[in-house]
Amino acid sequence: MWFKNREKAPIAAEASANMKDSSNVLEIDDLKVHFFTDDGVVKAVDGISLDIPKNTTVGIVGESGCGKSVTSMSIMRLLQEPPASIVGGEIRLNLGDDALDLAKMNKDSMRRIRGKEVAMIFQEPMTSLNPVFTIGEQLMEGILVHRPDIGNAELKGKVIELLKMVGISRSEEIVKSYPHELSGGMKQRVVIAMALSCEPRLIIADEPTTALDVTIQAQVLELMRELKDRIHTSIMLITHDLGVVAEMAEMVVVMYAGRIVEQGTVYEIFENPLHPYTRGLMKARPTKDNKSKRLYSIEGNVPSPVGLPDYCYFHNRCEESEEDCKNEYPTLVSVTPTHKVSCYVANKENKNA
Amino acid sequence: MPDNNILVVEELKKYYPLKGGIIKHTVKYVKSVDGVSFSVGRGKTFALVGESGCGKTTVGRTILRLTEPTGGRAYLDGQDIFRMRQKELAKNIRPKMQMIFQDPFASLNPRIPVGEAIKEPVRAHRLVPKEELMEYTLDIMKHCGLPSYFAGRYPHEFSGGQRQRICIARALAMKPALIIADEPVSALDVSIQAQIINLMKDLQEEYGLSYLFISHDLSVVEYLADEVGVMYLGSIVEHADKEELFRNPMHPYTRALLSAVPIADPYRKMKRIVLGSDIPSPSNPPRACKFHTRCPHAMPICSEIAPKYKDYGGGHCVACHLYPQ
Amino acid sequence: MDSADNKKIMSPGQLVLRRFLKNKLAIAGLVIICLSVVFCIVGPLFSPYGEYEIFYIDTNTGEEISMYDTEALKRPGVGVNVKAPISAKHWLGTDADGRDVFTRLMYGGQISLQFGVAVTLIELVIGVLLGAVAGYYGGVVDMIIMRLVEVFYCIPFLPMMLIVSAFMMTLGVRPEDKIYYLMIFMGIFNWAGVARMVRAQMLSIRETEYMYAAKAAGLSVARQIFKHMLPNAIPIIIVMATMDLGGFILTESTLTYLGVGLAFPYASLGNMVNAVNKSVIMRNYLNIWLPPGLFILAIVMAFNFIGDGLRDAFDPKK
Repeated sequence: MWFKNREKAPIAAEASANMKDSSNVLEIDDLKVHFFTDDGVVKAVDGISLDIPKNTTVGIVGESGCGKSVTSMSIMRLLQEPPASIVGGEIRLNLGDDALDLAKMNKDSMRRIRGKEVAMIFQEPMTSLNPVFTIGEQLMEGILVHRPDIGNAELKGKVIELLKMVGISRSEEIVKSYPHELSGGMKQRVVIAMALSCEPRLIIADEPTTALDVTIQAQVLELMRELKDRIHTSIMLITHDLGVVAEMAEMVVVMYAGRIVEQGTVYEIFENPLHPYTRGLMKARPTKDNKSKRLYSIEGNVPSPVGLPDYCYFHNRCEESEEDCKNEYPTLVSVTPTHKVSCYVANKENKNA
Repeated sequence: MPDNNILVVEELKKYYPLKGGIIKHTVKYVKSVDGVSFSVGRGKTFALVGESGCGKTTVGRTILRLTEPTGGRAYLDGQDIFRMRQKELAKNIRPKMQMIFQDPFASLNPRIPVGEAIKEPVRAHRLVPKEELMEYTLDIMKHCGLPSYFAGRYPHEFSGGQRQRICIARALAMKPALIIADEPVSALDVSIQAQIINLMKDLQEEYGLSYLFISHDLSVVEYLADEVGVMYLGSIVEHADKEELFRNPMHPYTRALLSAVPIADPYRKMKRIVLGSDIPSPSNPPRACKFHTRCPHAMPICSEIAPKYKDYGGGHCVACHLYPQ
Repeated sequence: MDSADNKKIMSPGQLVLRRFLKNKLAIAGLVIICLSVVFCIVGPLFSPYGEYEIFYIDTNTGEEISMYDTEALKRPGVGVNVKAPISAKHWLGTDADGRDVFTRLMYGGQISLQFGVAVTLIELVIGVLLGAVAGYYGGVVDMIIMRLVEVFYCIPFLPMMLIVSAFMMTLGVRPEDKIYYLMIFMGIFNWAGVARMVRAQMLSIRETEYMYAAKAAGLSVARQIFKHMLPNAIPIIIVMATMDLGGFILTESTLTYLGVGLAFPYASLGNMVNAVNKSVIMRNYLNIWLPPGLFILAIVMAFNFIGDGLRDAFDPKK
């Protein structure tokens, strides 16, 4: 096939990096991604740092426009540049013996990382498969790109095995079918199989179940949890649904307007949410246990990404805001070794306690 | 006709023809909605719950006559909607029955300013004298939490939540008795969802509105609904008061739906009923009980005889062989 | 709802305009078109010569004589001043019949622009109306209109125009009026493309939720089409119109070149380029045929730049 003979682009020397902690798969350090638009500079991601340890699911929660998808796209370097640009920070990927700074990689050498070391599952299973190729062809292509010397028989076997792994029983038949012949849930399974095909170190799942029905969502979540342990990979799970996070993730990062407002283990976040935004999100969720007559709501809207204030971005929606909150944007302060929050009020309470 | 119901729907059917063959002809019908009956009480909320392809959206659109029904009857305030001609419909029914759509980005015309969008239908039906129109519009906007300077702006300047408020204002301006809300919050962020749900509740109390609330999300439904109907592949499989349904779900599908919702509590990685396989295609539904292919309690009889839709006391109706037929 | 009140409110149209004005090529196109319009419409007022004024020259004195100066023409040794070189009197010289090229360029451009605009307007009126009706109603109405579109698509354009021209000749239509009939016929033969495009747009707009909302509000059909649907189809209509406009100007030149269009002695860019038929002129008298050729090129390119610019401006994803 055409891509077999393609020469491998050299990886630029400045892209090599050193991991802070070798037990992490990915370390994001002060990442800044800005969009240069007609209306001004949009600071879509403005200085976020987070670690993804090996064999762990990290949930990134936030509402639309908080920068969670931009973060994932910049790890994959799939952003349209320009208007987007990574203006600062490092994205260090642990390759075992050495490490790479994905933020400094050039586009050609990124191709060797995508799919092989880091794979992605998109939100829309309907549009993330190409309608003119069969499921088998699409799965094979993904494997061939990174393992051009694989034999034909082995390749076919591998595809069938992958489909079996994601719980597709009639895999021989499915290999020959086209995407439109499958239902939404089936397609998302195929997309997951594609992501798994090269046994990546990290899988980025961007709202993997949002487009699916609840009963199908339950199936897919269970599948992802099971597969993570089976192939020892890490998952970066991007979602707006706290329920999904609680179920899937071990670590949680809450983002608001391009910054991390709170991060910690799933137990810390759900048991002891410190940031008013995190608390608001939890209370606003209609759940069966919440018996109050009126649903709690965070008033106001997500701030416009252009011309953000120089104080806390959540200030004008916050119920607990104080005088101090008009000071400069609060830094992330560690409450426990794993739990960090960026809020004046929360910090004060913590010191008093 | 009992007078306490604003909307009564009886045996509603909507079949879509499926064309095939070399010479295009109708080979069979997709029974998108197959005999659905329910009623919405005055000032009450009836929720239709189901997954994609179950026909819940089609029900909403057929009642509004945005698509023509195949069979059945529907009465709004005692007037037969399906027998009316388009002219009468526009005059007598349209103002009384409005719709809110799922996608607030698609349901506002990008070339019409917000104030105009709200005003236009009111003017077309002459609901308010010309002199008072502007004032009336601003008043409606205020009730929906929209400041008056929004009136001259275009939809592209607003976020999803604000747009959904605009859509609600547009529907409300017609002084409707019934609003059909098709997944009004599922495209919105969590913190905004709560605002919109609260707004809908407030408006219901203030204006005495009735809602037909269509959703896939049971947790949202629990906040708003008085009665709930659960749909699966074109028919209602269970119907009860909200309290009754959530306390005592009888149909296996309802139970699965209830348990499938992820709970925001890491300690409760609960045992849930995970349904096997996929939702069957509505063009080729299973025989007899349509749920038997996915049902954890399926019995031989389920694939042979369709279960009767029966009342098991207190208006709790279920169609399932698990209960005495 | 705390967004800045003082922010300037921009309608979608203003946003498009702002994006359009940022496109250098499109602005260049706009400037070229504006200059051409001024040149063609205001220019003749300042030109001392007429469109088909022939110049003679007294070979004895070297004095130039206009065809209107009947007295002077009778003098011996007076001949037609053909293919005069570029001079202060004739900025682009004279053509093979002794007429001022620069002046004819103005009149020719006028005809070409008129032709382009008129044909585009006619095709838009018919095409938009029929396309909108077909797209809105669908079903049988759509079927009939679309079959009509197919019929019009199948008519071979050039032979048809030759036939029309022959008919006009036998019916004794005056040569200066012929071009106006041609405009009408061309408009009628070209609406099919517009109709098809508008119909496709209407079909997709019809299925949007805001159209369901408009229907549910009980608005009249005319209001739905003209207030809610057409404004959303306008971007594509404008883009298509500007692109077509350039094309029609080219077609006019082609037709005139083939002798179907505007006839002697009237000027059009097409029949001016026609002079290139003679190899002597082609080789030695660039001033006669190159200016009208470049003028056509400039106008057509300018319209295409504007069309491209508008398309990009309407599409915010770019």
